Amino acid sequence: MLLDDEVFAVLTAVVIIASVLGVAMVVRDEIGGERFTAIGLLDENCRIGDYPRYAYPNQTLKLCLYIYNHMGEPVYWRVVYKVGDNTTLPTTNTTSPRPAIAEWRGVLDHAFNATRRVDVVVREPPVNATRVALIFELYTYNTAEDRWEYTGRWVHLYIDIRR
Amino acid sequence: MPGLRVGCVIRLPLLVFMLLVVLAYLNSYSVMAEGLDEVVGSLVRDLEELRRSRVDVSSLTSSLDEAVRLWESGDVEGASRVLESVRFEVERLKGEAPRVYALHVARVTLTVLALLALPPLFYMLFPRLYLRLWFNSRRGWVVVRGAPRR
Repeated sequence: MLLDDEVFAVLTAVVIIASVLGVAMVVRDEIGGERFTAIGLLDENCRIGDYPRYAYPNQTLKLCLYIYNHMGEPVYWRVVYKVGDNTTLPTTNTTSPRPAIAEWRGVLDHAFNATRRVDVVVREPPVNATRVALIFELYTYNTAEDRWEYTGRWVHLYIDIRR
Repeated sequence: MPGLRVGCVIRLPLLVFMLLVVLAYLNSYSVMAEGLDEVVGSLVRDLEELRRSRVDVSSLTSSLDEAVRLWESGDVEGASRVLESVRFEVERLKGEAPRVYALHVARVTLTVLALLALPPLFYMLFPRLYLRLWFNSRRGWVVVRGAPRR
């Protein structure tokens, strides 16, 4: 036999597996996979690491926001900035009860990210607070109902308050 | 009264022109009246539909993002201009969306069919191809009775 039966069977099996994997990849691209958004906080150079450790009341800090969209469609996003403490942090279901101080908006296509330099004022820290959390909550616009929805994603940075 | 008639003829186009200028000015500020979220939200809804039809909307999304940034920086007029251009482009792409979607479906179907056809084609054609190559590579060989084996 010029072509060994067992070798031929192995080669055929490899081709079958490659074919199935190929079809699965095409179908997965069509379905889109898991849908999610992400938010990250970066330092003033838009890198991880050199975050401010303290601030004076009403001082302006320079930070960077990172937003990523993996919702399978374009997303109109909004980040709301609040100052709170460890008792007023958001959860995955609820936003922080603290008042919004600033907000930033943008539009992102699927699988795209944005890095936005922001100036945040450490305003209205809770009374007698020595340590506060700078809270950034991510919202997306629900185009079917024309309203903003909290995504359950947030980041916070603890800093000491010096008076 | 020929003088009065000439005056009317001159004034009427001037009046129309001024009216058009005022309308254009008001139109540029329609975004302000309507609210940014409603305007951008409706455009994003259109972009979602276009993307579902497999139209590439990444450049339009970038333009929309630019419009939002202009708005946030206080340049309402600039934001309105960008939003109008995005709206115009969206309307144009809506007409092309069915054709783009049909092409996409055809491309995906052909890819899946080609991938599914690969194993049976391999099973049928590979032994023949292998034999052909085997014989071609030994075309110059001479068969000699009783020759010693190499």
